[in-house]
Amino acid sequence: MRHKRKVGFLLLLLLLTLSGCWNKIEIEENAFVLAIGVDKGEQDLYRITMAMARPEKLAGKEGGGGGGGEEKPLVLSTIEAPSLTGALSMLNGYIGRNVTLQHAKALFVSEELARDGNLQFLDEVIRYRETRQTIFLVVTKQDASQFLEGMKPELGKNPMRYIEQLTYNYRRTAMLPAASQISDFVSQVNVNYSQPLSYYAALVEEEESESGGGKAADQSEASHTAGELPRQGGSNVEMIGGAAFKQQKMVGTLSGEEIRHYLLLHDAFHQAVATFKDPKEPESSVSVRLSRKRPSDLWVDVSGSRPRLSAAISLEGEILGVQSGVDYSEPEQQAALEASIEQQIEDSIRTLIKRTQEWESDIVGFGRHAVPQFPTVEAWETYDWPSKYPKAEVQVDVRFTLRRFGLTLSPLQLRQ
Amino acid sequence: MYQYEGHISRREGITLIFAVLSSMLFLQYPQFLVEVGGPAGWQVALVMTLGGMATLLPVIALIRRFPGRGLDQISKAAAGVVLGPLLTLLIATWLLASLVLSLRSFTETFIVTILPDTPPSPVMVMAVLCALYASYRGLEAISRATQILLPLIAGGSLLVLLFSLPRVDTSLLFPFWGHGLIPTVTGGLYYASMAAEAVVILAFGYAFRDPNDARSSGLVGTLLFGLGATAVAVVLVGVFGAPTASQNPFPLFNLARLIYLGRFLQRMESLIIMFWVFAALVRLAVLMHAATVTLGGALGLPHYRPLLFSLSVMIIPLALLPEDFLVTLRLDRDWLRPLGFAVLLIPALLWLLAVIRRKGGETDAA
Repeated sequence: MRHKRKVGFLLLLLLLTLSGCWNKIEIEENAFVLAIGVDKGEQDLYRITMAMARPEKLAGKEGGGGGGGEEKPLVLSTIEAPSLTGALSMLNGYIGRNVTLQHAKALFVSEELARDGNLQFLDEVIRYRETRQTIFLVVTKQDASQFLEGMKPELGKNPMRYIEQLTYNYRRTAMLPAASQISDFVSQVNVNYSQPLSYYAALVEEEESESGGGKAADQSEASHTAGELPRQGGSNVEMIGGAAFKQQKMVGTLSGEEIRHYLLLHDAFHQAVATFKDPKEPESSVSVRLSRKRPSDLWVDVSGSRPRLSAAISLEGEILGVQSGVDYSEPEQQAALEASIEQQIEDSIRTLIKRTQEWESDIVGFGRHAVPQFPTVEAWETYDWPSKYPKAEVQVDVRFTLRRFGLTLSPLQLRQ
Repeated sequence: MYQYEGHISRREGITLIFAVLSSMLFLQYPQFLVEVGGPAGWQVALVMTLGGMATLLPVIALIRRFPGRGLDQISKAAAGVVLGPLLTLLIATWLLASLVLSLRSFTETFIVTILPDTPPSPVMVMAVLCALYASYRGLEAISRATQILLPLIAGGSLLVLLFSLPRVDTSLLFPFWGHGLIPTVTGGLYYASMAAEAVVILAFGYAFRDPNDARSSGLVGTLLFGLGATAVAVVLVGVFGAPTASQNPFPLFNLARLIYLGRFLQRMESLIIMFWVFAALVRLAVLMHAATVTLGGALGLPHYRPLLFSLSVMIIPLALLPEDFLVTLRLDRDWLRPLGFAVLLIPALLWLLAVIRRKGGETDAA
């Protein structure tokens, strides 16, 4: 009996906990921010845009159903504030719900702000309990507020899922950096073995996209940066290439093709379709599906006054199309094509490294291969890798083997 | 005569020591290791482990010399009725200080990470009530509860480390020797006092039927903790890089927050919080029990239980004394850890006195 009373008393005590703790908040009292946009402010340091979910518009099947009318799935609000959390606090003054960053997936920063290097708000992203370091960092060609406002995914209604889906494409297309999460960005800025690289996106107006953003139409499919694709139709968002940083300051953009070579050097390349100049008829092209044969090998010789960077890349491929009609299944022709592709990739990689040296930004991460040669942190810091990298000599060796030739061996003789 | 209760086996002893020590890996301690060793924080952890095991040897020798006895009895026998209780009191005070700082550290981590609007006192009251209940039920209850909880705590932590592996960049573990061999070794030896909480085996010396079980408990428990600390240091530095990792007081929580395996596996920290609570409660319960039993013995009380309630009331205001979280961290790093060495020196002193005065062991038996 006494035992039962004790248990009863304990159960009564437990009732007290059912009311929840001090941090209790009902789900419908929250406004969930899915994306944050940060631009240069006019009246204050930043102009911050919060894209909040309208759950009833995001619910239901992608591409249909769920709510009615023309209401967008995101509610946008832009505010000038000295900081991210400051903006959050101000938003709570008029949104009418508790604005929370717990579900924020992407952080869009305008190119203008990134080039100024004024990214001190990243400290808040790292420190603040609600934000996650797995948030994607995307540099936008336009203002981030304009980007978020104008973004119209066509094959789904959740814009953030659309952006997330775009990032997954790097494995198939190799036109985006393998990762652009805040945690990677911050650790690279802090450690200095390599420099950060982030996603780069642009919004295109219909007229702009038809003209191909002013780039020549005969360029290869990957030589474009976001906002420059010669195209019509589809979503108005382009996410291709990357934004290179030196510490927290953006120093340049990389095209999709350059990102492919970056991934090759970074050993994060899986596969991609690439177009090369035909060695027999340079005005024609050969389409090849490239895939990694062996892990890329990078090494750095720091014994001389200038470091020597070496890269050995091993690829294999399958021919997808030959415009010239040359039969590359012939052994001599095959060897010539392989040598030509090797040369073209080597040249492109050298150009990429040279650009990064001009930016004084080791985005490829050669420093990661140099650091094991130093016994202590002090020795590494004395060597001062960031100042040595721009002067480094570069040696690139690409090995390419044609493994397959598609469903037919000989090309169509369209020219005869 | 002081009344000791309960017996524990070797396995339970290992579990208890490992649980008490490894709960520190949820707190700021891995950060301390990286702070000292930089990219070689894991080497500091290895030196710490060896140092910790070495400093436990006098404790083990003492238990073997006085099998089946508690700390207060051993002290009295080895150092006499005046010095003995005084030395026991010193150990009890250190255990209490460790309990107080652990309570504050765990409370702060809960507030910073998940309960920002909750005042610290309700968190502390709940934690102390649980520890009080466990300690009231006795050592056997604590060790058996630990046996149930430890697989969950260790498994959950291991899962976080495993899921963090794809993010590990091995180049961040270089330069290999960190800030150099000398800072690594001296730092490792300094933090050998992280194993000072293993002195609880001396407080629970009476509970081992076979003194060899106490030896295995201390050494194996500390070794497992050291290996765990090494693994956490490797993953922490490999993921965040030494500069960020050395400023990361919530290592496992922050690692869990980074787990992102597509859309399917994210937000693992909610899982780690559960293990965190278990680890905190086990540590608080063991420390509270050890401190109370030791203090009761030093004060010559017949039983530890009456002390439990007054101690429980006392430790909450004491835990609220440090002004802020950083003061708590500094108190731990700059005071509690160095004093941990002094605590580990006491068993060495007792052992020496016992040898000189021919107390304990076969001599005593004769």
